[in-house]
Amino acid sequence: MSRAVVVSVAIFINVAAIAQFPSLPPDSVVDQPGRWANNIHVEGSFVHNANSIYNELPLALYQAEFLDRDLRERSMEAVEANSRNTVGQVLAARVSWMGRDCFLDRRHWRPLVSVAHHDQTGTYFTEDLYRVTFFGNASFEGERADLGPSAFTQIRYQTVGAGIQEDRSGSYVRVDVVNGQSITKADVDWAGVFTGTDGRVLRASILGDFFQSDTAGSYFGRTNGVGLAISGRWASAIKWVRPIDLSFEVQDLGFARWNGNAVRIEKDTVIAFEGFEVANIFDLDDVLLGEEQLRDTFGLRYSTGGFTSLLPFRASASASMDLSPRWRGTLSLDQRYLPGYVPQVVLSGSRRCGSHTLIGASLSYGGFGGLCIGLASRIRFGERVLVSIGTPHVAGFFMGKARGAGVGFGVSVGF
Amino acid sequence: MENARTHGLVALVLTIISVAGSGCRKEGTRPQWDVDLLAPLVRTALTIRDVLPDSVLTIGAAGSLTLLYRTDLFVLDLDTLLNAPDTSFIYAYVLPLPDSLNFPPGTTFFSENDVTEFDLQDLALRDLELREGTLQLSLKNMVSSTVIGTVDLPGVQFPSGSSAMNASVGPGTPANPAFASASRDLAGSVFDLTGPNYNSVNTLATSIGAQLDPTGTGAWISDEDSLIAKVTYQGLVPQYARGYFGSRTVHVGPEVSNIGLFNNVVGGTIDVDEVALRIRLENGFGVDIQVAIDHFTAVNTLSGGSVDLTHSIIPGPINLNRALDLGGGFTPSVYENELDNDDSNLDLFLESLPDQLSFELDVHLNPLGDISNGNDFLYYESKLKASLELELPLRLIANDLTLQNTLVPDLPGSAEAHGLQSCGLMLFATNGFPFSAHLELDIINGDGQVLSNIPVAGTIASGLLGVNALVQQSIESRLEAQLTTEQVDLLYAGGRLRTRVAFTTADQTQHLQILDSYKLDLQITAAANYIVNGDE
Repeated sequence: MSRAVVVSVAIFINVAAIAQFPSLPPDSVVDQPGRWANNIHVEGSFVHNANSIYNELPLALYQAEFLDRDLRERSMEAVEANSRNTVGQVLAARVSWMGRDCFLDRRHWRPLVSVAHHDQTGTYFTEDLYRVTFFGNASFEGERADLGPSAFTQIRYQTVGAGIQEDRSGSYVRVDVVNGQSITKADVDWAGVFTGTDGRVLRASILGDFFQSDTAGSYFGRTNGVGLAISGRWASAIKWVRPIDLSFEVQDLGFARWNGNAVRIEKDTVIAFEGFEVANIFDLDDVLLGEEQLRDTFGLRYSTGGFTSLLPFRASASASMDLSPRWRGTLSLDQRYLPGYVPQVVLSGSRRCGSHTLIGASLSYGGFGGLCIGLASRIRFGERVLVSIGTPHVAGFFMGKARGAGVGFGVSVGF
Repeated sequence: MENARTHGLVALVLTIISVAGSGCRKEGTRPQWDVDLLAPLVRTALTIRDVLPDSVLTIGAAGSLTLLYRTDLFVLDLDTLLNAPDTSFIYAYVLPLPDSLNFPPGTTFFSENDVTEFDLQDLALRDLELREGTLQLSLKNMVSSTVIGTVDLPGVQFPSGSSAMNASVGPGTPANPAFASASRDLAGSVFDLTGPNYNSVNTLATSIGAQLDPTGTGAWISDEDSLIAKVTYQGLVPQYARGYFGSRTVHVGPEVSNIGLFNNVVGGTIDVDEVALRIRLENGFGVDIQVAIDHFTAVNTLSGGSVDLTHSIIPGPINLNRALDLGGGFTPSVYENELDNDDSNLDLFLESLPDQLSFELDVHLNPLGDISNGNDFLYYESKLKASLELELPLRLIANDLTLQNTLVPDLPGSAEAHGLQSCGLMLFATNGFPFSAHLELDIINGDGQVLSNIPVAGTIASGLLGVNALVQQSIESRLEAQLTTEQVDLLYAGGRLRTRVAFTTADQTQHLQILDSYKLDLQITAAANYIVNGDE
């Protein structure tokens, strides 16, 4: 099986969302908004992106393979070329129901109920951190490895929310209750490890924090924290040479309060380690590589206590206009509250094919990665079923040395 | 119908989402990759106190160290001289007439005076005070009345001041006798063993009697009726004994005494400058004693070698005076003799690096007979003790003196899965001792067989000697050893790491003094190839 196929299969079976892949603009012919009294929408997406490491590395990590040295070195070369390296993944799945109008004379405002799962990871790191992580510190003999600034956040949470949605423009507002499943968060402002010649000393200086939710369990369905979030979208049209549809959206702007069993390490310290001091060189039985002793020596004992974190909200803005009766262009900008994520610009074009199909392509830059070319399509089957599928980076399916990949899938059923 | 199709589609999509996500992932496993780690492991300062315990070291002028090792060689306590076995005496009464007689209540129908003689073999005791012991009177009664039995020991004074004890037994018949017994603690009792006429030894006057219950109705006693009384002395432990203990010989040995001085030494030689051995014999018995040492041998069980100590006290004899009886206590007599390498072969004896001392000797009691006129004595605390004190100034010449230690490394992971693949060890030494050290590393199995040798490059150089033959400057050295993947696997498979360090003094022509201030600073670092998540 070729690498491209493996990438494709691996990503596809991890399913996920419409919101991430090149969004196709609303189309009144294909979408037929407001036609059905009730609408159920299921969507899922998975997006991975990076500005340096190649897809083959995270894929091998995900598949729990042995990472051979060549594989790690290929990404190493790319990491060396960057001053700031970023990687991130966003996995999301959502089921929504939009009901019949119920707000008296406002017949286009409809009730909205939504359940979603989120698994988001973002990180930025230094070249030395990558080298120490994947090759060890031996190559830094007599040198200092700069491990910061680096940051990492991985958060998993579920939301259950209700709101209202305008069925023609897609504007909505929704309030969600948040179930915090787990969070791991590290923020290293500065860190360096000096490895002495022949390993005679390890001298580390670090300024950073580490937080983790209750380590007793982080499986799906567990509640390690609770919170609240609000999401909303405002869409409107302005008149220019041609009408321009503007929209502004924020998703999951809120917080989670993690329970008192959460752990943390906050360090602003300098450590010099020259080996464990032993009283008797002839009695080393319990000295070698004792994890507890390492924790004591390096001050890695956790303290416990609850803490509050912002959710990895996403803010976006987009503008789209008709370029011809069948062509439409869209420019969007978005930002996520995740380490390593920079504002992403997406330029996309879509074309309606007949009355049932919309296809589009996108060119994006930013986010966790670099330049990506995406494809998307929305097809109406019969009168009631609308299926969406797309990818933000086509090359990710075919080139192991590509950076970034993703897939989105959605089904909307009206009745 | 449409609703049904819609719900079916939603259910299908939800199912796909819920089961997806782990498709290509190996369940329960984590990714692995190898990294090259370089880090310090341990550091320590090694002094002579890490090799020899503080309890055997003394510090002299200018910090010079002397080894002072004391050990008990043997102890003979009172069991060796006096052993009083459990002893029983039986007394029986039968009516001496073929008829039957009626005895009124309170009649003493049986009374007998006896002389009890204890079997104490060679001992002829006149006085005995007991620390422990029990006197038991057992009665078997076939008389149809309650009977009160009495044993009276005129030669014994119980702590209460009396000399008699009673026991009561209910009525019985020849076909169905009654039994009863009573006992009393003899601790603190004083026995006069000179007999009723005060001219015997090991002898005790005893009176025994039986009386019908004075509150009863009396009894008809026939020749078929009888009373049997048994007097038992058991568990006798003397607190004090006096008499003549006999002229006899107690053989001791062959015995082996382990010494822990050279347990870790497995090879090489030492040459000591001077050494002294003090032998101390302490006689706590009131008996003249003569000790004849058959042999006193240093045994090195590892090499199989042995050296017999030669000195005028071997075979001797060594005469020990009797202890002094203070009445309630005693003062032992003491014999001390100091041997050195001028009047004996003590240096050779010690240089054989013994881990055992073997000896055999005869202890003669009263070699001149009963010169105390029956006034030998012993107390419970009396002992014949022999002890040694070795004084060895740590001024020596060592040549490949090899110390061995074996450890089972506590490594993370298991034989099946371990992250550690190969490992280079670097040892950095700053040596302030006047000897060099050569290091050998082997992986051995549980039987001590070498499975693999770990080559070690380099030697710990000796400290730099000054004109006074003392270390003037510490010297730094670096040693390297490389554990291959196969050797790491051996350690994970249960192999043990055996370390041998061979010490050689810097100057082989003169004895070098070891000072308390000498030390060897060690640091071990590791350059390891390690597989992340490999321990799982």
